[in-house]
Amino acid sequence: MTFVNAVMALGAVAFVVPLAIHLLFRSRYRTMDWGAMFLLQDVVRANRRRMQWHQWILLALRCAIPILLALAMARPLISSVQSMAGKQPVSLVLMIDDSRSMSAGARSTRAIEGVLDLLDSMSRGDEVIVMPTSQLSAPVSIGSVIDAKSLVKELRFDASAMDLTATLQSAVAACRRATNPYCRIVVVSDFQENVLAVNESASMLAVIDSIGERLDQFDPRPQLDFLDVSASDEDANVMANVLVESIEADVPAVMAGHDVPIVATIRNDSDRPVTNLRANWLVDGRVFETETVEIQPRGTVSLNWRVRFDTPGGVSVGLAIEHTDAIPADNRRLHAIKVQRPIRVWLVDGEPSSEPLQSETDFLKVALSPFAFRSAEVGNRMPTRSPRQRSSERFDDATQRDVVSTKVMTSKSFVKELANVMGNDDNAGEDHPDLIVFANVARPPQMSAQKSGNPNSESDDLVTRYLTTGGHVMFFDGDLVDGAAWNESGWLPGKLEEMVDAEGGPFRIESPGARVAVWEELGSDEESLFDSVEILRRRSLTIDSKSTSVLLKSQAGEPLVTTRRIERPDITGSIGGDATGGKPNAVIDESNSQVPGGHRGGRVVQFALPCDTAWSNLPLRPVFLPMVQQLVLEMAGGDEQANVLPGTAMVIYPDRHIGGGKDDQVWQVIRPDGASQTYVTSGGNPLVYGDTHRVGAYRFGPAEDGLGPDERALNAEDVSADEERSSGELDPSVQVRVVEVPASESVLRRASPEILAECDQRLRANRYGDAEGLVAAAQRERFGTEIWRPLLWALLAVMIGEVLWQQLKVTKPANRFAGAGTGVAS
Amino acid sequence: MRLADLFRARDVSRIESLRLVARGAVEGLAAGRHRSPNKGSSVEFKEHRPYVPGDELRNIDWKAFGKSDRLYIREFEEETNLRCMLLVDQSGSMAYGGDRAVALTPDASHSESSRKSTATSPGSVTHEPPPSWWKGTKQEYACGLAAALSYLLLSNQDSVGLMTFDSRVRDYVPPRMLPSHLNLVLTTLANKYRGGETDLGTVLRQATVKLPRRGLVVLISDGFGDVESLGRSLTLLRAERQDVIFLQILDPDEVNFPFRERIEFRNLEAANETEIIDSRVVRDRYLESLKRHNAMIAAACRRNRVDHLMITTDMPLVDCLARFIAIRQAGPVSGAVSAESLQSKRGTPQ
Repeated sequence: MTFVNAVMALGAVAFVVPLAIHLLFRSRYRTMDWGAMFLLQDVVRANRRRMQWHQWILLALRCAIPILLALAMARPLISSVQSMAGKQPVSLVLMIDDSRSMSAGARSTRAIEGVLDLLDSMSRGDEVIVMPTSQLSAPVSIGSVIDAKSLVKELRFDASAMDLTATLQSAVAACRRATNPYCRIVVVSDFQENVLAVNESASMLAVIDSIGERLDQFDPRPQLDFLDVSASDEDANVMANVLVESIEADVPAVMAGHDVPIVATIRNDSDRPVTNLRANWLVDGRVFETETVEIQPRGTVSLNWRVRFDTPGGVSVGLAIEHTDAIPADNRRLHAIKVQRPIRVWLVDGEPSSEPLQSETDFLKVALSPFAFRSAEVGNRMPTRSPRQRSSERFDDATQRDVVSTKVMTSKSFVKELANVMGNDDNAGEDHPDLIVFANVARPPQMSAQKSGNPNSESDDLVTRYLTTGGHVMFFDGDLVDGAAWNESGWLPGKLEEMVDAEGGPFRIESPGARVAVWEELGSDEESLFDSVEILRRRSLTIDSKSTSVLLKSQAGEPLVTTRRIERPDITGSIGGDATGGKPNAVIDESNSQVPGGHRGGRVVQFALPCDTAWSNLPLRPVFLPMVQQLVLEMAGGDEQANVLPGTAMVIYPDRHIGGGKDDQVWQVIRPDGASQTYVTSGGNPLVYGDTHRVGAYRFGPAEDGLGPDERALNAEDVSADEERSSGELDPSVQVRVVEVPASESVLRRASPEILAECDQRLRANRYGDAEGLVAAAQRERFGTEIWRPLLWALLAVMIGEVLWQQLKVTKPANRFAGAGTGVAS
Repeated sequence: MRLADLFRARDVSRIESLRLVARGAVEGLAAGRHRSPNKGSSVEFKEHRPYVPGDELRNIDWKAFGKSDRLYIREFEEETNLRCMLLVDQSGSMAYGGDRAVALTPDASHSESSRKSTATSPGSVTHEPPPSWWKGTKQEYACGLAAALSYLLLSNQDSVGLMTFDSRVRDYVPPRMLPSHLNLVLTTLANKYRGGETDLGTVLRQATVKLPRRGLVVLISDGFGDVESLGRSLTLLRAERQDVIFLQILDPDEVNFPFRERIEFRNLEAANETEIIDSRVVRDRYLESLKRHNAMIAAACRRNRVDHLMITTDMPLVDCLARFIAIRQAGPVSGAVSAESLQSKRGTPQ
């Protein structure tokens, strides 16, 4: 117990005054002759002990009066058994939820004002650790109260959902780095439903328990407080919200010169209809087209838009609605698109032939480039038209352009050409294949050790190098295939076994349905384009790798098409450094080496069938063309994750078609707020960019020529929308990444009070609905509780008790004797 | 001591008008107004009895002989005078008069204090100033009461005797009916024997020996002592066919215990016996103890058919006496004289 006015406590010695009066009173009495002494003696004899107790109690009450008065004036501070920091410095760990839902209504204002109030109540020597929940992996920075105030004022509430358990774990880790023994953790959040893993509440509570145990290991135990800023939310009308729920390109890959269907969804998350809502389609932030929509209460509207980009490059498309609601930030959503040049596919023909459709790859070539096949056919019939004319005609109609260009070669020429493009020649990027198809090739092509220039190995597996650098391979079986030789390559998804002939009827293909997204449109379980395919022979495949998945299988369950990804070596060490100071630009948790979008390794798809009609009628069926088209587009266009969540590190690979040499590369990054940064990566290594907490489009490009991606992008955007809704030329060296918050963050639904209460109980945490309660509790638990008020009440009670004790208990109404006898004589 | 020193002329004449009659038959030596156990020659017919040889013929009821042809003797009640013995307590406890005992002096200044003390009683009654001999002690009040009774009885040709006592009988004046006997009684009452303890039981047993004939015994005391012994002695007196009246004299301080401070109480009946007590603390329990003591006395009196009247010394003496006699004529007396009862019955003709 401590005292605010300790000097006043000395007044407690005034208790000697009633004590002295009592003692003096005992020595002062008058003398009286008394006749009825025997009555008095009986009373005194029988009640002497009781009278002594009465006197002692009366004396105690009288002595307590000055003591209580002095204590009340001294303003004592008491606490529970837990020790208090008092005037010792305290470390405050502030975990502030900066998710987008915090920007709804006045939540962010309440959060900032509450935190500032809390900081104002702190002492000068205290230290504060401010951690936005979107940057839990950032280094812990310990600062003063003033530093914390400036940090809090600059907070932006536009991140993805807070993870409560991760937040608490980071807070505990921050407490370990605090310099003061007394720590206090304050989590400021709106505690939406998505902060809790509701579907895994049992495991979440287990994590909560472990966090509680880690807190118990501190001495003294840090106090954990929750400031719930959504507890005093406004009414439903104020919190009504309309948001762009999703936007995406409805194609596996976006090709230059082809229309790109963009699909967006707008949701009205309110009880009122929304009319005349202006929705603007954006390309690189500029409005290209505007629509007016109406949305029913709690309804959604899907909008479709088609756009075309003539040149490859990175671009962001988006949809923005003009509406005033609770969360303005979700009225705009962007989507990054990588516009690709036509996909280059090398067809390695294991059984070439000059006869039409007799070569092993003829059907596949037609399926991949059907318009080129038609023009060649037309050209044969109309030999008077020049190739230039045919080419101009072909490219005038955007709907009749091939997205894949094929190149047929033999095994021997393949090795030579691949070695050429895999070498150090800077000009080889233009010829670099996006996909290599091996069709009935007897053995995996290898380059001799002498040619490869590697004296340590007899042969250098070019295909493996090609795969690890992001290339893709498609393998078709055939009669010439030497299974044992291919199995030694190590990168095929399935082990080649013996060939199996159909007995008693052809093999049938089971419809993949929704299991394979890229082939979902080819049929359902009831009716599928694969139903007409008849297979008379197939290769038996043994799948032993965990990374292998089956795309197609027979109705008997035997795998027909399998795939696997080729892992690339860890990229953690390839983080780019700041060009000015060499500072790493990305912070990746050492415990999590898996960087989203960082798997540049290639993909292998293995068919247990040949791509000609030797074993099946698949190449003759209508399903063959869309099947291989969609598969190639998906393989070539889906290798990079262009749309990520806030705080997720981006991996940017140098474009091998442009640069990609072994020299250091200087990157220039244009952030959504317009700020420009420059980074340097060693030759061939990707840039890992981790400062992705701001929502919007990030533009990456080489800066060696002094012209950054911003200037080039602006130049590209100078091209206005033409009649064909073309966005014009894009800079092929610019790559665009978009950071967006999931739409679920805009769902303003509070977490279950029961689960929150359970968490509070297990963590022994206090939950406050307003900052005043939190500040008061912090002060009380730090300095103790002033108990002068109960002391004053106790003083009043003692004074009343003293009066009653000596008056009511002692003195009775007089003249009792008159009625005490056996009756009045009258 | 003279009667004029005790009472004013108006009080004396009022006392003369009172008449104390024995409740039962008494054996007197002279003719009087009280019933006697013997047959005599009064005009009050009592009964017939058969004639036996030797009876005087003048007592034969000839009319009854004419009707029944049998001889009957007519007998009449005998009326005799009353032999009254006054037992006056002069023990140490009777010397208590509270603050009045100190403040009141024989001079005229006592009247104001007396008025003040009486005014504190419930239903305050305006009393006349007490006589000069009055100092407020219970003993003086008892002596006044005994003197008034003596004058009353002698005025009615009854015999009056006196016995003063504390722990034993101190003075004894045999009953006489001569008017001059009053002086002897008053002189004896003037004798003071202070310091002894009250022992009513022993004293009453000694008095029983000296009271061979039926008569009236008036016990004037504060009753402080062994109640059981007192009860046994009353039983003995009643067995001797004595008509007993117990006038219990108490001081208002003893009844109300109005003290608030710490007081050293010194026992009036035993030297060097003191008790320092916080008066407020013991007041309730003292009053309960007094109530219990008085209840025991009342029960003993009621059991022995003894008229018991408790009188506080702030009550007017003559009024109390008149009130007591009036009540006694109506039936058995048991209780206390209160100011209200005196106010309502004052002036009632006796």
